Amino acid sequence: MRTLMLASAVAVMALSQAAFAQNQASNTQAASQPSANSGQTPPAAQQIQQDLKKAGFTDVKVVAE
Amino acid sequence: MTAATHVYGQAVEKLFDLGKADRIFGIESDLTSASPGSLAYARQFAAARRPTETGGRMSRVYAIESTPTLLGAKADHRLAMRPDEIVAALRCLAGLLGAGPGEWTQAENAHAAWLKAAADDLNQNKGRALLHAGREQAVEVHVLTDVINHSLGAHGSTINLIAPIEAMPGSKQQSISELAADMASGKVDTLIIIGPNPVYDAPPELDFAARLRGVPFSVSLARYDDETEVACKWRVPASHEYESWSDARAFDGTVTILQPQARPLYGGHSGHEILAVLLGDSSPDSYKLLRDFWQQRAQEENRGDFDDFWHKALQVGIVADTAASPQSLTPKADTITQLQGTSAAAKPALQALFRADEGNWDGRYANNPWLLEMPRAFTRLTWDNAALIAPGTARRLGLKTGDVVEIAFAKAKLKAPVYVLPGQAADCVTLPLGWGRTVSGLASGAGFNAYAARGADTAWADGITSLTRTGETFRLATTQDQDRVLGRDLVLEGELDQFNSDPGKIVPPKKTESLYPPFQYPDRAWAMSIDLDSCIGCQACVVACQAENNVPIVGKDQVLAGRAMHWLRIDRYYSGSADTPDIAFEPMPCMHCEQAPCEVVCPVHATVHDHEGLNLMVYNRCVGTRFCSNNCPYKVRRFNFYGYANENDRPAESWNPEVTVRDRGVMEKCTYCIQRIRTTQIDAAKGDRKIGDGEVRTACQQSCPTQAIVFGDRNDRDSAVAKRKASPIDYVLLDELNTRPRTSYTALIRNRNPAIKNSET
Repeated sequence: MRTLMLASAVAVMALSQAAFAQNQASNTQAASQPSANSGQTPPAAQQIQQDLKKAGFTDVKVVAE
Repeated sequence: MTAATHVYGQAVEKLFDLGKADRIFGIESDLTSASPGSLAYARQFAAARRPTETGGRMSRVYAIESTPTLLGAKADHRLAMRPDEIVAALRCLAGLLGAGPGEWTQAENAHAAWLKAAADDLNQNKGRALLHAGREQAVEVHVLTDVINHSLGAHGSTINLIAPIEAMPGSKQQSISELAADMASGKVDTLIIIGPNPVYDAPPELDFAARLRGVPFSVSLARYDDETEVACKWRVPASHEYESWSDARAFDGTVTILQPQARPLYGGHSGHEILAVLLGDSSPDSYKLLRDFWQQRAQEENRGDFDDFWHKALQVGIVADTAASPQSLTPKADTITQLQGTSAAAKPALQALFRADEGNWDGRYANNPWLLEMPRAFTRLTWDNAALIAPGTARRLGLKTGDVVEIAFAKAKLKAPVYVLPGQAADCVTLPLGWGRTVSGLASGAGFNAYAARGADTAWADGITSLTRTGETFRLATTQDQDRVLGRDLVLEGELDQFNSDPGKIVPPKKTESLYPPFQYPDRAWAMSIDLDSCIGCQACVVACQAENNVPIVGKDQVLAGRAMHWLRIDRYYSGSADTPDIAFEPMPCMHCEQAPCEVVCPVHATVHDHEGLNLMVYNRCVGTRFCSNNCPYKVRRFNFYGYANENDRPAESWNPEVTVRDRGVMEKCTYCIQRIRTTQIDAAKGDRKIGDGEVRTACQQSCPTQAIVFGDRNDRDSAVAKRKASPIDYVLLDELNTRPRTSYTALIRNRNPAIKNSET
């Protein structure tokens, strides 16, 4: 599996399921937050991206079908 | 651009309160059938349409749609129209309500009078009305719907706007197209696929399978063999939601912690575990991952002692205070002016509509035999999909049900059998998705794959360039023509004002004459009541009954032979014209007749009555004469022509251990879930107490999202079932036969708008 970690480009395709549910109480996705349509990735997908980058992946893209 | 961005400048989702909505206008709406929150909405919807329980009030529903929906079937006024006509109708409605320019009302519209009457009605119910458009509708339809809702004062009353719940809102088509382009250009060297099946359902022009094969390292996490898994380099078995710890958000944002019911039966892994592996955890544990996450989150939110928080969340099932807060947003000022510059798209002679299948959905449930054999609400089709065509269009094209046609599009074509469907819009051909799987066990080869003709830019509708008969025919396994009880008035219905003034005209007084004294049931008298106003035809009760009572799957050939085994079926009735009929659903379980015609003809006393009024089957006595089935006027008995249960290839754990699995040559039928009755009786006896009302719930009752089915002790005057049966519009089927059924029905009430002519409804 460590080979995976060394991969230079990873595209992760996830369904609508987030890694972990976002909690509205501390929600980073409130009305004032950027939406997908404003060109920024919403928090759940962003979190996956950030975590994977921290783990050594580069150029990570999360795609929802 | 999505409709929400167009109207509000940001992504939003909507929460509906159908309990507050006196007027509902559905635009091919899936609000009570498939949208997020549909179960809650269905319950609210039904509760507001039971005049027997609401003091003679009920909501009024309008529907315009190209293909029948469950909400449309319950509409008091319904129009079938093409997608381009829907846009025109909404523009007219917006103009009439002052939400759009007045010139929109000037355009010629065949339904102008209908729309005017509906608009007046909506206007008179400001703050108590709502419009809802199905997800397949064009962006303009959603924009118009939002604007009209705002003008009706729906926001803040019947509709609340909230931040998106979906993890990745926005265009899915765009994201998968970008991925396909990246794969084609060699940018992707590792692809991890967690759940979806793009090789099957991605637009054909993306050529996903070939591009996926070109990715050096690809992994698919899937529960079953599927087309994508086969094309990947590596496969990982996925665990079921009942097999792993996880969390999720409901349609209103509420977080729930998902607890496994069993260890993974087939060594599956969850998506969390796979992601954890990618992050360097070589032996991830989904429970630990979840708990650690929430420990951190609870600390950030100052939720106090974590163990208390965690155990409470598990016990209650939800994390407190996580529902989304309503937002106060108003449509942008230029919303309508942007639409004014646009013109309606060219109108193709024939149009294809791509719609998710009621059972298989997008194909993900195609491995579930219960859903494959579940009769669809309108067509009653099992084991296949078909091209749904309106009666008038079929006549014009010289088509009948079972004819195979070739449907050509600009870039693709497919062959499909025709099903002539009343209520379908003229010149529209609905192609249900989710069929035509090639790697999916039982579903392999069943139906045709409509995805093969579904382009990235034509996800929900596309113009048909030609539709030609091939000369071939195909046998469709529909249950509609089986168990027919023709020429008898089984669905009683009336108008709301009739109900309020003289319900006796809807349900004539009952006849209880008999030469013989009635049998007394001094202790308990189990009975069922089914509210036809509440039944939305969703089929949940049919599948629940099948799961609870070990009802076997018989396969397409046996369905064709009239041997489907469902103990409970939902009959679908049309009245009025074939093009715009009124639709009614009527669940049909065993009636448990007090004077049961089945019992007196059984030569071996295999079907008998008990002291509480249950019509029992003693399987060991049954010798399979089928006299009982022949003599049943309701056609609710099922015979095991073969050893269906033994032939069903399923693990022992999947059978309900409380219910006998029937063998070949044995008659069977609804038992009112006698295993549940007996369990409750034993528990009550142990506790030396009486059985409380609602303590025994049949599987159909338990699964019904609208509480259409109520079961209990008729002798208990305070029971829910006794109260329903006391309604002036309670009736039994075929009362004239004097079978005295324990199952009775509440008549269907429609709340028509007097301003709309009946001929147009």
